[in-house]
Amino acid sequence: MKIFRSRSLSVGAAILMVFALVAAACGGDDGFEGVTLKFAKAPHGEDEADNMAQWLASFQEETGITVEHTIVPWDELEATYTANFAGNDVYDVTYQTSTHLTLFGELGAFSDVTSRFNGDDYSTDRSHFPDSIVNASVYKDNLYGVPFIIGTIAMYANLDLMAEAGITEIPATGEELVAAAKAIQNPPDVWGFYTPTTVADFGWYFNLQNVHNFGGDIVSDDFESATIDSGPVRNATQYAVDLICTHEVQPRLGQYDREGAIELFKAGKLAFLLDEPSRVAVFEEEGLPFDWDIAQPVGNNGNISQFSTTGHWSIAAKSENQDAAWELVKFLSSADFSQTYNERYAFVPARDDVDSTGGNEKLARNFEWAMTTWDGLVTHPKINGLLDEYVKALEAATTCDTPVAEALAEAQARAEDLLARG
Amino acid sequence: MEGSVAAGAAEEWAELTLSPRQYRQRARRYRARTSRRAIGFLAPYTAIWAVFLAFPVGWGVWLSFNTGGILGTRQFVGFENWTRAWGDTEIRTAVRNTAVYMVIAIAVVFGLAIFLASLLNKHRRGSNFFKLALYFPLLAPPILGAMMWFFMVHFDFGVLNLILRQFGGAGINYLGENPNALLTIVAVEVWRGLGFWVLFYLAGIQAVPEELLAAGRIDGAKAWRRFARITVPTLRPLLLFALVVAIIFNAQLFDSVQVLTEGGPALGTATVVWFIFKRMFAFQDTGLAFATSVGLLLVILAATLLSFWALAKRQAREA
Amino acid sequence: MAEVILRQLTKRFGATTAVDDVSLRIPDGELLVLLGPSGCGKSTILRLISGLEDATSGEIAIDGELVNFKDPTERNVAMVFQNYALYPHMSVSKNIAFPLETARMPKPKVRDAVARAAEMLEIGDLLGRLPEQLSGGQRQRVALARAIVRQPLVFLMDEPLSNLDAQLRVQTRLELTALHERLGITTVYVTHDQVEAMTMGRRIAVMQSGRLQQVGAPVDVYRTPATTFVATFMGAPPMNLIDGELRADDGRWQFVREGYSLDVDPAVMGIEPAALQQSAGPVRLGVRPEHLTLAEPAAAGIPGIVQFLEPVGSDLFVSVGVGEHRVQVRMPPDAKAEREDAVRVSFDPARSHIFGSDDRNLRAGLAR
Ligand SMILES: Nc1ncnc2c1ncn2[C@@H]1O[C@H](COP(=O)(O)OP(=O)(O)OP(=O)(O)O)[C@@H](O)[C@H]1O
Ligand SMILES: [Mg+2]
Repeated sequence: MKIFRSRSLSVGAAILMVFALVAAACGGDDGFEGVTLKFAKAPHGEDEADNMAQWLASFQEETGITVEHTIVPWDELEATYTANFAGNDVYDVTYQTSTHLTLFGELGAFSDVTSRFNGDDYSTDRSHFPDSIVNASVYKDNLYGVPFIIGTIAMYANLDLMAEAGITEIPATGEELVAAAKAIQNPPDVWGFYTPTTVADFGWYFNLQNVHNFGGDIVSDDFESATIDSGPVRNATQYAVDLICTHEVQPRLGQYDREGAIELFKAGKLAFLLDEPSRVAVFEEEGLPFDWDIAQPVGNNGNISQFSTTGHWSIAAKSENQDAAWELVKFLSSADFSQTYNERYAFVPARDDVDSTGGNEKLARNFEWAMTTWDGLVTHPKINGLLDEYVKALEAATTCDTPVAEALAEAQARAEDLLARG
Repeated sequence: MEGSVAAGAAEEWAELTLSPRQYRQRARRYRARTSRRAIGFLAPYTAIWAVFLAFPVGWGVWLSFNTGGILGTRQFVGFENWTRAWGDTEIRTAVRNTAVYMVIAIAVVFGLAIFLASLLNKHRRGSNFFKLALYFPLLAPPILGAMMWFFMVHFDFGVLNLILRQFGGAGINYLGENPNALLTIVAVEVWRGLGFWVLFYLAGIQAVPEELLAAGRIDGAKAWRRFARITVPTLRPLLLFALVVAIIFNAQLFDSVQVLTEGGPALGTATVVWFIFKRMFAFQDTGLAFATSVGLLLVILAATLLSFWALAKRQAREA
Repeated sequence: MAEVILRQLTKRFGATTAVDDVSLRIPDGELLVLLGPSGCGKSTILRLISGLEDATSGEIAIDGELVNFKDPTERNVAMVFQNYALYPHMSVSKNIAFPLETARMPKPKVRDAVARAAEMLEIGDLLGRLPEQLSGGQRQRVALARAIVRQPLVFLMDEPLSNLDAQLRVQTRLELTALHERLGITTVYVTHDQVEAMTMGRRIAVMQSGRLQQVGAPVDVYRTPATTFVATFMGAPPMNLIDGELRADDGRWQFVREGYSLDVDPAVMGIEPAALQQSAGPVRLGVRPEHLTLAEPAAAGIPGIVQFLEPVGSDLFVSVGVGEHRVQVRMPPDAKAEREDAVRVSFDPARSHIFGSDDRNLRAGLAR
């Protein structure tokens, strides 16, 4: 699942942007005047509704298409989309992550965009989407959405705390992390490390790269068999458990949730924190009262990888305005929109002709890790269920009450049941 | 006319004017007229019931024998979903959690509510303020209520632990450990339901005739004894009805689980409806979700019927 | 105004028979008193007439019309409940006006009717109050006012005076009688108080265990009780009953008990010879206390020993032990008697009754 891709900044980016604008403008002549599209997305920031209104203005003006934007909260997303796609008045265009893309797609909720995506009139844009990223989103030759961004993880480090403990280098391996955290921490006032491990905080997202580093995965590449109860997964999970239960460098489950840990870091009471790079802009804006930096999440077992999921733009199969919806998808997938969006929310764009780091050196490094050690989640109708089984086991094990082997065996059995079902 | 010595018992005016058959006929017609009127009033409700309840429930039952049907094509699979539901370890955990939760929550909320209601009944001054205060949580949307609790029980900056730490305690991990998490959920739901049940029981207690309590006093019963031996037994028919309502409410515990724990830790707060919600929406396993829903419905229905049966039996015995 | 007829009326509640085959005719304008002990079915009869309960069998006719299959609202009867049933949230005037407003009577007419009813019952100054601000007697009058205000076909009154003190009861009783005379509305009046029954009713109907025991003018019922139940229920102290045996001796009938025998002359006691024939065997002799006198031990009469003396001012009640019985004798207050005196209790056979083993009075003229 690992791919390596070299990245070169397109010098002709500006020219391409002009192309995109012209294409969008031409769309206006195709007779979309008066068409209304429903567009729904789970937000990446509290200001997303306002930003979208602003960013979509030009598109609406040029095409004559009216876009009704709806914010769907993350925790209501599945129920909302299920109800919506079951009805007839569907959201024409939605944002879908790799966990749900083929789950809904294979149930007939989305149009297959393969031919449009690979069509002649989109070939210039198409060439900027690395195949590796696109392929991870293809299921049985179907592509249910155009890749937009890849979500990665970074490790935030409090440099002041490190300095006080005489540590100069941000840890790069699991052992170094434990040692550094132990040296720095003084619980309950100062903690060494935090990574979410619960169902509620999407614990799988922060721990799967570790599973991969240990050389394992939760499912075989062909999705034929579950591999949760395997040596590498056991080792990786044990590592996460040990941080809490044995080394005690991470607070107990329930003491700090993800938001709590971010507050803890911001208060200067946490040395190392795993979270999305989108916090960089926030921390910089707020101005934390100590020196900090980001690093790539530590490697283990001699491997280091950059786990991520992919976000896509999908068109509802029941949409009555397929062509107009494609216009909107093209706009949302364009280099300049990607630029604008990622400058604000700091995701890694899924196309190689965008530099949205805005000169931010930290984000630039984050891009580099994604470029060099990218390890994206492959989409599959059952991936959400498999991840759920794994994260439940992870949560159970990190309560320190359930042995890792027992938790994984249970998850393995349930995952096998899931895969065995038609 | 055996037994009646009334003058004129055998006289002409005392002869029946209707034959038994005519009498039966007219009695039947009279009853029919009365019930027709009742049916007339019930008809709109019946129609609404059919559209908004019977139909969806029937559809749900049908979908429990299929895969798909909401999204994706429906396919009949017989009892497969049911056997899967029956064998699902997570459902077992959810059922156990829900049962434990219900027993504790209902016992606590009823005990507290009856106690507070009798206090409010005795001390009328300022009782309106307390009634409002107790009722307030019910006015807040469930999600908001749970959010408020989130800030109460947060390990780090939660109000409860702040207080505990003031007194030198270490703070309690309310949501991250078992069985704390489930007990916290109990506390939230008790907090939320208490006002309703206090008002409910207050109405019941106020219907206990003053004379009864006065008589108890004269008979030398102290406050607690009067409460336990007069007030509570007088509330008993009410109690059973309340129990049915509470079971129906609490068997569907969901909101606070979703906001506070998402079923964790280690499924310690996974409830039946939480399970259904996850299967239904997160994994699109509609068949299993509907089988579990219908199963839950049947259990609630059985519990309700059992309660009504018990109530009827008790009334028959007391009559 | 209307005649009320009950034909073979029966009401069962599960295993209990509250009203058992009751036939009763109440002529137009009459006030009939239903008298009987608690639980004998009096209220149930009222509820059957009003339509609050459906009969198990039998018929009810008001003004010649069968009403069994009519709603209470269609029967045009007014009821005064045992516990008043005033609407607690309505003022007195609202309470009284309620039946009229329900009948959509125009407002000014309602006002007049309420004022008239209030005046009749002397509650004009209470109109603005709530029921909880009234005394028992006042509530009673309000309940009555609410009943009379709309001129129903029939009044049904369920022990309306039972909650009043003795004085108020006497006064209201007289007022009720006057009211009835003035309005002339057919009334069924339920009570378990025999004084009330005796003074108010042109006729009274005595019930026991759901069965009608006797119907008649109060004096007749008192003088000639149809059953031992009526004999003992009416009168204070009740009629004395003495066990014995009815025997024919040479064609002459005798009431015989240990140490005593009484010739039973059918003509004197008003009994058909055939009835005597039928009742031969154990019977009871009944005589009211006021018809007994004490005589010398040597005189004719039932032998006994004086046990207690109870002077009550107007009379002297003497308890005489007669075998296993204690017989009450009413004497003038200055009569001479001492405890332990051996006496004879004598009486005029014409004023005595013989009750058969079925508890019925053998006297002719009582329906059997
Ligand atoms: N709804 C009912 N269900 C069962 N039994 C009833 C019902 N109503 C009355 N009864 C029974 O019927 C009998 C007659 O009752 P009813 O109320 O008519 O008596 P009552 O003569 O009015 O007595 P009281 O003088 O005490 O008012 C009683 O034995 C009573 O227990
Ligand atoms: Mg009664």
